[in-house]
Amino acid sequence: MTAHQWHDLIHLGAALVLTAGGAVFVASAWRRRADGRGSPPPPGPAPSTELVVARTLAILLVALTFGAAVIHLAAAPEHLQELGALGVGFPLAAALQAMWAGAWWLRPGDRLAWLGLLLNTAIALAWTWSRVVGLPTGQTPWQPEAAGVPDLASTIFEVAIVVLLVARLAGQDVAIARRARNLAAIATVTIVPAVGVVFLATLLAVNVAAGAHGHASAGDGQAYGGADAGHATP
Amino acid sequence: MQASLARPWMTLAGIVLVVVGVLGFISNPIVGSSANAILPTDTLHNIVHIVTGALALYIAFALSGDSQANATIGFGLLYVVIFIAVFASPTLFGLFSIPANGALHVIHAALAAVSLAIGYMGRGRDASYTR
Repeated sequence: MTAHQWHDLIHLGAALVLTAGGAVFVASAWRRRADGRGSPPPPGPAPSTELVVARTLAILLVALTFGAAVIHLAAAPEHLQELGALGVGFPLAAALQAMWAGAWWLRPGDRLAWLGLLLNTAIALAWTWSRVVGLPTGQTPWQPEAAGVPDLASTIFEVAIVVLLVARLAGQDVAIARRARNLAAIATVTIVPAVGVVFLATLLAVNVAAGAHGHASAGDGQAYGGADAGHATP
Repeated sequence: MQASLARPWMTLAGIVLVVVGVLGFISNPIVGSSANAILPTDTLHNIVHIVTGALALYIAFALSGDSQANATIGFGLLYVVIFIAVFASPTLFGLFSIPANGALHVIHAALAAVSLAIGYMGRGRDASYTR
């Protein structure tokens, strides 16, 4: 049996277990639903809007900030090599973002929100500057760099962090949430795919950054963040 | 009152995903990263399976009631996104070195559809839980 046949066999086995098991579970759940047996009522009083918003915001902010930190860390080796002292900004940004995420998870507050707002705005502005004007050092000083997958992903994360923190500082997060009819349900339903998508985007960006570094180390002149770089798997 | 089926379904999904993911990391002549391995493994693909499997197990054992049912719907939505993305690009835009095959699409579709259905049917009738 060839390698691909083994691979297909394992996936086929998993697919069979999930489809057959899933069909049994759905049929059983349908019967229970028809019998009026849903999930048991939640114990105790309902959580307040403020609590639900704070929890949801914390999970989203920590996922986005860690995602951006990991991307900066993955891009650091290439930029340290290329930019010298200026490249230190990459591991520094990663460390600051990771520390901020940890602090926000443990003790969120207005002062920390301002700090996160300034940190992520500064990083996003530095990226914009490098793509519009160019950096003073590197192989092509003062020449705008092309945008790639890793830097675009981390900048999107940083802009999302800034938007969330502005909403938090303006009190708009709770104001918007109050208009929702079933806030806890909406928050739980949306948080799982949102964090999952951030995780997948981070993985993709890190893979491209690591691939670009691999190409650069090999000395083939591949531009950082090129789409083809993603095909190199660590 | 009996608990919903979200827990056993998320347990099954979690175990299957973690087992499929871990199998790829075990160094042996059949599964491994060496050139001689019968089953070549894709590290990032394994990581995605293990992480989403762990997420399913977290939903199964750390949550309960409506939170569990809603998180199961969320898990289904995540796999809808994964299904569409992998269907559009079988290597997930270069992330996986081995392109997804038909069986993998079935896994993603089953995880999405069953999680959405089980989560929806497992929700309580009282929609006024939050204030």
